[in-house]
Amino acid sequence: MGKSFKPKEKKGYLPLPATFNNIQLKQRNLSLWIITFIVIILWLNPLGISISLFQKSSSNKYPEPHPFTSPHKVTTTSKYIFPPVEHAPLLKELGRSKLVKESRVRDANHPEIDVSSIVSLNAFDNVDPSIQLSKEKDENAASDLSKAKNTFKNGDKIVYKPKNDKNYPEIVIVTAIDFEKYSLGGLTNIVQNRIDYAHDHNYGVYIRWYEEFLPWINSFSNFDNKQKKKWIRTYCLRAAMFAFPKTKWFWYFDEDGLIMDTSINLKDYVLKDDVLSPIMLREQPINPQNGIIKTYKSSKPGSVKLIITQSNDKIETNSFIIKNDDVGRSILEFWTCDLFFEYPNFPFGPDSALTHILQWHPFLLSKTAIIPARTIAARHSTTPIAEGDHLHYVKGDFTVSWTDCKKEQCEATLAFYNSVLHPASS
Amino acid sequence: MEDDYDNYDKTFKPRTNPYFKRIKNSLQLNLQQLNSNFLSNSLIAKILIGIFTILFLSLFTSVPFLPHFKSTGPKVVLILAANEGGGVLRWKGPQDWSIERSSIANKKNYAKRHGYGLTIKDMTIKKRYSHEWRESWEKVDIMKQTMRQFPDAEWFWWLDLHTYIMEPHISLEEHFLNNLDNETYRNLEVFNPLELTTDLPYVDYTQPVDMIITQDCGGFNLGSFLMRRSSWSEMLLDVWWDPAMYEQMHMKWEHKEQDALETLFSTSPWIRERVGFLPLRKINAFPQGACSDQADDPRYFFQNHDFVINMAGCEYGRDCWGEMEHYKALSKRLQKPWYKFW
Repeated sequence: MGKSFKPKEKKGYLPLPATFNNIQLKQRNLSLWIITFIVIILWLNPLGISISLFQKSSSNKYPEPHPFTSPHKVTTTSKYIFPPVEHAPLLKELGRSKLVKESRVRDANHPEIDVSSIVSLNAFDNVDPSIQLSKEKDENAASDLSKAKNTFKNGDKIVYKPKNDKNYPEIVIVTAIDFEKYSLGGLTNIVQNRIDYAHDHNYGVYIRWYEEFLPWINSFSNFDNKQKKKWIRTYCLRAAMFAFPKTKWFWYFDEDGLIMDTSINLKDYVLKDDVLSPIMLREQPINPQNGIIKTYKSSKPGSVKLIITQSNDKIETNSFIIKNDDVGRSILEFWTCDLFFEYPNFPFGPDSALTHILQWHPFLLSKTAIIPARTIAARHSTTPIAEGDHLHYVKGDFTVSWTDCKKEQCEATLAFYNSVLHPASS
Repeated sequence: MEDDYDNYDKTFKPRTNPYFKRIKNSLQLNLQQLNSNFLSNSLIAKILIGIFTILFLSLFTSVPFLPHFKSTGPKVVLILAANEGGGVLRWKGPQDWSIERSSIANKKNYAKRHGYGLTIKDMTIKKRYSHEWRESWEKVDIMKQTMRQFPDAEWFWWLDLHTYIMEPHISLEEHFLNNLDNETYRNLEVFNPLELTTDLPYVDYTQPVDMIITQDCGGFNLGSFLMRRSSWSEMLLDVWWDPAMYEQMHMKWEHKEQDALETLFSTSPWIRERVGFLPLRKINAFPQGACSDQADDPRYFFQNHDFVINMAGCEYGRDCWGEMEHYKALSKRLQKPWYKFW
């Protein structure tokens, strides 16, 4: 450090005022304030606010989801949704042709084919639901037949809407019942059985007439075709998902069956991960007869959306469980696609379609579990049961089904199992 | 000895840089100081070792309970379908090669500018996509493959070869991705060239948009569309091609996966819920010549400063190369900054 150059100190011409440093301090404070202010303003981003003001702020309005046959919904606070079974004789008297509107169309390109199209009577509702309601009230008071007819057509609109979600059913049992197949007594037993079970475990019930889905399958001849009629199971389930949007699981259990042990809680019995994991059949052929495609070895119970059972020959859809989330719904909707319904090479209707879907689409297969039939779909057997039978009902099983019955047999089988269930009443 | 080696100039060897040498020397010096001063102090040494261990674990592994400062991959990936046909059925001439080069360079620049991923997929004619062997739709397979290839990406933007990004400075986020609900229309009441049914039961439009497509005069157009990774898209990609549906519809499905999607859209609520439409000119503007039946409809045709041009159908009787060159020049002109006069 040699010489350092610095200005020679001069005594100032005037002494600095005593408050000079104070002023500087204040100025510095001021600038600090200004900077803070600017930072806050920038942080609040007034430009963004003005931009968002100029942007179209209202998001697009889209129509609400609506039921299959009507743009309107009717809400109920009861978690047991079922048609008034006592209307069965009246509906039978009215007949299919009065319950829906059928029109026959001849296609110009194929004049030999007689195409029928079925529309729900909901299509002729007044646009204003309140006018329609008062109109129906008058009709209902006038005759029991119109009342049955109106209740029948309105079934599609009913959705569950509780006052609060505290007791929202976690599982809903879905059944389609046919007033042409069972007597009033039989129907009552079927419905009562589901409701008893749901009541014991705080589940919901969703029951509809098979005939209500005529507009979906679009012809009476399809309805009389046993295999085509099976599709109604899936449509009914889709309607149930709409009626109970917050339910986690839906169990479709067809009318030809009874829950024999109402003490079993379906959730603890099948649905919990640690319960489902050991009973999922892994590497099980989708088609038991020629098993080229098999269920995955390592699929996890947590990702299962669809739980099905098999008979000795094929997949069965008289009792299956589906999860009510976006993937579960998508699987069901893909399955119910019109092109599968119309495909002539599906001999067993939805059963064949599901077999096809699982064999061709690995994503859906990975979300599906096959469980032993006797868990939720034990079969009624007319002959004594052999040792090691995995299919037929043995006393103590959860449910019993008689899907292959002929008309009178069905009623008799139902009566038999009902008497087993309620020995006192018979 | 070492100096001798350095001076030995008969062999090729990397040039020694005295600057780096100096840094190395000073580093060594510092390290020595560090050794003598700090590492002898065992506490500091332990802390340092601890920090380095944590940094190492954080950067190079994926152990739990640690924040990982990994640079994640791009959020948007462009898929460019190149080499269409692959010269199998038709000679691939110099003009075809030129188109391909222009298109690829354009997408490359765009992806680089905005940090997007880009993958160029070969669309050579393959036996497994021919009618008798039909195993799937090619587009679907490529989409699935790309989703596996970029496991961190969210959006996948499919672009046909005959497209050109005219305004490369616009990012997809500012263009529409950040404001999807307002930019897209979900039900077909607005614009419905196919006259599909506008109303399906059970459709819940509150679901997020997972697929963004456009409609031209002939219906859905998959020349430029986007898909978001989700369980929905995984399922759609799985079921898009179904043999039972294909068997019934292959005579009607002229445009393959495009028609199949239209069929699914018109019957399935789950598809409808998550498809959002953009106006054609937003990502897929047509040149005059496409949609020639409706040549006076301004909704279809490119106007200056539209984002992307898609020379759809130029291989059928129009001049692809001419159009490509025209729009390339136009884009260059439109993108020229105001302060450049030549």
